[in-house]
Amino acid sequence: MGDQPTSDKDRTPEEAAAEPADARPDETVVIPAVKKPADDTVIIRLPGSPAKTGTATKKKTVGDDTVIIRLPSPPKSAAAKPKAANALTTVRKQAGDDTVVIRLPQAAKKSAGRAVAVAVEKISRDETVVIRLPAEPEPGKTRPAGLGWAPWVLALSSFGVVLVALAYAGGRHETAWAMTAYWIGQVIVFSPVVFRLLSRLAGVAESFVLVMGLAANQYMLKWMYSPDQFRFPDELQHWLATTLITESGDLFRQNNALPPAVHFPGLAEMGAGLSLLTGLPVTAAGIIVAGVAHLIFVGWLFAAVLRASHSPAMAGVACVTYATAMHYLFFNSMFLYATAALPYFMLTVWAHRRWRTGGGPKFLALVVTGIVMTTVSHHVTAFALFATLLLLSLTELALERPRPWATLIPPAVALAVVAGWIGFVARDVISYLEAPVQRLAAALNQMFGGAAGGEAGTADAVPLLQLAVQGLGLLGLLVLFLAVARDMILRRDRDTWRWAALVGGAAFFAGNGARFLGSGGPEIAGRLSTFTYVPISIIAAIAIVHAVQIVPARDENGRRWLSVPPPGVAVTTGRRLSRQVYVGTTLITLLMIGARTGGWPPVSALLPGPYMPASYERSVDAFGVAAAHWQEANLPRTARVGGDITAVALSSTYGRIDPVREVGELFYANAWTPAETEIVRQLAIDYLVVDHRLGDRVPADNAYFQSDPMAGRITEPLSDEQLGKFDDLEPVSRLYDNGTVRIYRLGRP
Amino acid sequence: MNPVRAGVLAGLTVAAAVAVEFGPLAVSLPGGLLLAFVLPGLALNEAVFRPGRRDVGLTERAVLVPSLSLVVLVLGGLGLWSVGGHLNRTSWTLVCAVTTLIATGVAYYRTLRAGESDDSPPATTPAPTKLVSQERLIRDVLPLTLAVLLVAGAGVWSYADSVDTYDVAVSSLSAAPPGPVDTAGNRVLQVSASGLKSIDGPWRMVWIGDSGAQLGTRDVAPDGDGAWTGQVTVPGDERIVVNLFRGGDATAFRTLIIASQ
Repeated sequence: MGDQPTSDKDRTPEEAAAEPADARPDETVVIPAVKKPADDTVIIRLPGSPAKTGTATKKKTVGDDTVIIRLPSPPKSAAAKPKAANALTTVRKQAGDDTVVIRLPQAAKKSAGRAVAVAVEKISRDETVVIRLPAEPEPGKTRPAGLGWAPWVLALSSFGVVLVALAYAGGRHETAWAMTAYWIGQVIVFSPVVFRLLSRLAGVAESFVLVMGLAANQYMLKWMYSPDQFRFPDELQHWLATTLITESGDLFRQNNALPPAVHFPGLAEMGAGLSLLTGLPVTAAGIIVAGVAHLIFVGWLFAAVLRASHSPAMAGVACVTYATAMHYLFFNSMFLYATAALPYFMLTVWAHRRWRTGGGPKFLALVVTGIVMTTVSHHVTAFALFATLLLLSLTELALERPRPWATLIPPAVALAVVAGWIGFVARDVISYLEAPVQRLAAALNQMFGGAAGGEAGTADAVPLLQLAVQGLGLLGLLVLFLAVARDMILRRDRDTWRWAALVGGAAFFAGNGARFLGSGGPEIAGRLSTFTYVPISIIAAIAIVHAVQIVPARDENGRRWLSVPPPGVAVTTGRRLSRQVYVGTTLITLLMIGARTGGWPPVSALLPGPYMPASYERSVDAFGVAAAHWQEANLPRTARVGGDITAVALSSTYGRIDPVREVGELFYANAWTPAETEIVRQLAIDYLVVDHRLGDRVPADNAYFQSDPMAGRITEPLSDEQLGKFDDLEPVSRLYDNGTVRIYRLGRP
Repeated sequence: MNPVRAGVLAGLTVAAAVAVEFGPLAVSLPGGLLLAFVLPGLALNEAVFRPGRRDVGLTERAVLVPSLSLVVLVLGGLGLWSVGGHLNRTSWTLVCAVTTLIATGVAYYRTLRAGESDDSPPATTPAPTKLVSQERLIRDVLPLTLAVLLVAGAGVWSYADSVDTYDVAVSSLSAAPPGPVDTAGNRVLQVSASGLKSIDGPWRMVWIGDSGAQLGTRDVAPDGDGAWTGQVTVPGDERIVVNLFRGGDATAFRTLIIASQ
């Protein structure tokens, strides 16, 4: 994915990217470029013997004015000795252009291996390598472990964390300025890091610290939303799964709140293990585990891209671009089983890269370990991992000659492990995934077939401003995607990882159409983008860091879009670089804003605050939790309890009862009729939890209940009549009342 | 892994295990964090990727350590459970510690083997450099400290604010599912109240039958935690409404309804 395919063996990314002075005893030479400030002239002195200046096949920028040109080792007999003048080349930069053109001698024989042959082919057509050298002042001597400006940038970013904390507090106390502070804080947390990474002046250590620091700060934003307890239903479900392990010492214990999670114990084991080892409560242990897993995931993403590109800038930009995925800040860093699986998804991808580039069998072992960890942690991530490994293998098979059939081993192992786990352990996951698959199919059918809107309906239109921000960001990504695609096609690029990323990027755009499918669209698109956003982030990083031309110049034949890009990799400098940094920062910040508005929590609940009906985190308060604790103390575990979204979430977790979710019709009925009695009988409902605040306002997410029969059609809150009818039913007992939440026992005692 | 490094790692592992097993939270917390996130991964890393080799870079090692540690926690726990083990503090401590010690031994053994087969003179260790220069103090340590303090301060304050906002007194009246009707045709209700403030009292409970007639009354005296519980005997064939009144309020503060049987 880097400047050209090279073996990763024996070179750490730090060495590859941050030790320009390390002239290794191979074909690599280091050419320091000396720029005369007065006349824009750049003199590049080629060191070494003339025999080593035969053909340039590798160029690498390292964040300063040094250009590394890797030269092939032509057979001594065949190598054309260049003239002495070639050893000292003087070039002049053209006005308005930071491009330096170096004419190189004709390529040697194409016998130095595939990688060399590819580059030689380029050069043999043109004999010109275009290297754009930074014209800006030297950024200073870089140390391999130097942190550069990262500490100060992160300090600035931390002020954004403080601002968002203030905004959250303002939200809890319903102050007017809170939303403004929230957005300013989000931008301050994010944009300075993006700006620094885009400047391409950061080395490996600095980029890594920036990326991990940003991930830590953004995790703080997630944690501070609800720092004292889990409030999101899925987090509560995994809290219960973890608690069951700490209480019983057993795995695979029944969890009524989320039955399929029982057979994917990765996250629960991490949480339970940490809780037992440290003595911390499960909630605290879960927060730590989710945070560490989130950081590990980002770390692996950085490592994988760095290893593939040898460019810390590209690795950093890919990571910050991924940070604009819709679910990155919440779903992918919550205490959910996907959060535990994602690090091993990326670890597997990284280890696959290392294995395929000559790392040896130990990396294949890591691939298998990653597959197993992903599989025992989360079903969808395991499927995505199989698809990813298959994509990587197929692109390699398609592009490499002779065909490397061994590349099929990882997807074969993934298929066997995933199929074995689901076939022998987690059989119930098939029926569990059936419903969301059907919803997705219905949404796609609605999108392409014009079918009438169902549950994923379009009654609640996504706000225009939100659509505009998201659309603009997506458009930017699409432009970058198309530019890279054009560049790769015309270059006849044969890098397997770049092609795999391009295919994955196409899958991102295909899946992202769901974003515009009404109120449920952003969630569907967000869940898909957890995986497809990885390749599109890499594509965006390639486009930005390598300055792929969006609108190419016309060639000598007058062709613009079919003009062959200049060989080599362009590194923009000067005003053009500045412009790209500003534009890039704006684009990625725009993507981040789009992700915050279209991701989770929804715009109506971006800030924590007072109770809102059926609004997930915003609906969990002391009244609901107290009612759930009463259930846990007084009702049998087998009791079937129904209620709104929040009531069911709390009852099934803190309450430890068997939840019944499809009770909407019982609430919407203005009077109790035999039809309601029949529903109670069919669903075997024992108790109903009725929160009278459901009558205060309509739900922000357009549904009070899961499988709400009125989803998307709710125009007014539930009435007193609807909520109060249970008091008048002869066989119904009200056994709990805290002034807000009431619990009814259905049927005679 | 040289002997000193192996010894330190093994000693740290034993100390962490002892702290986890026998120590109070102040020592079990760091010990547990080390066993969960650091030590097993560090030892496995050293065992698989020999130091000095260019197998993996610094960033990769930094991410491998917690990744492999969590692998031990998850797959170790899964393996232990599959052979009939019980997952508790002791068993998980043993899984992590034993894995760490074995991996440390492997790493040490591999280094020994490599040393025996390597006739070349040992690489000269560069002279130790000053770890924290004044320049580095200003450029790296100071801003990072500032960042950590800002983030930690924001976190602590946010936590306190969230707890304060959440911490609302919830007053409830409840009854356990009533028992069967006795031979006299009555049922015993176990009624409980919580979150009652004495200052808002006196509290009084009144229960009413089908006809609207008052069947009984009782003064409710909450304890220091604001809780009260008591038994009420009511007719089994009547629908009973139990009202809790606060102070001199005319309307019920909380209400229960018990269906007839």
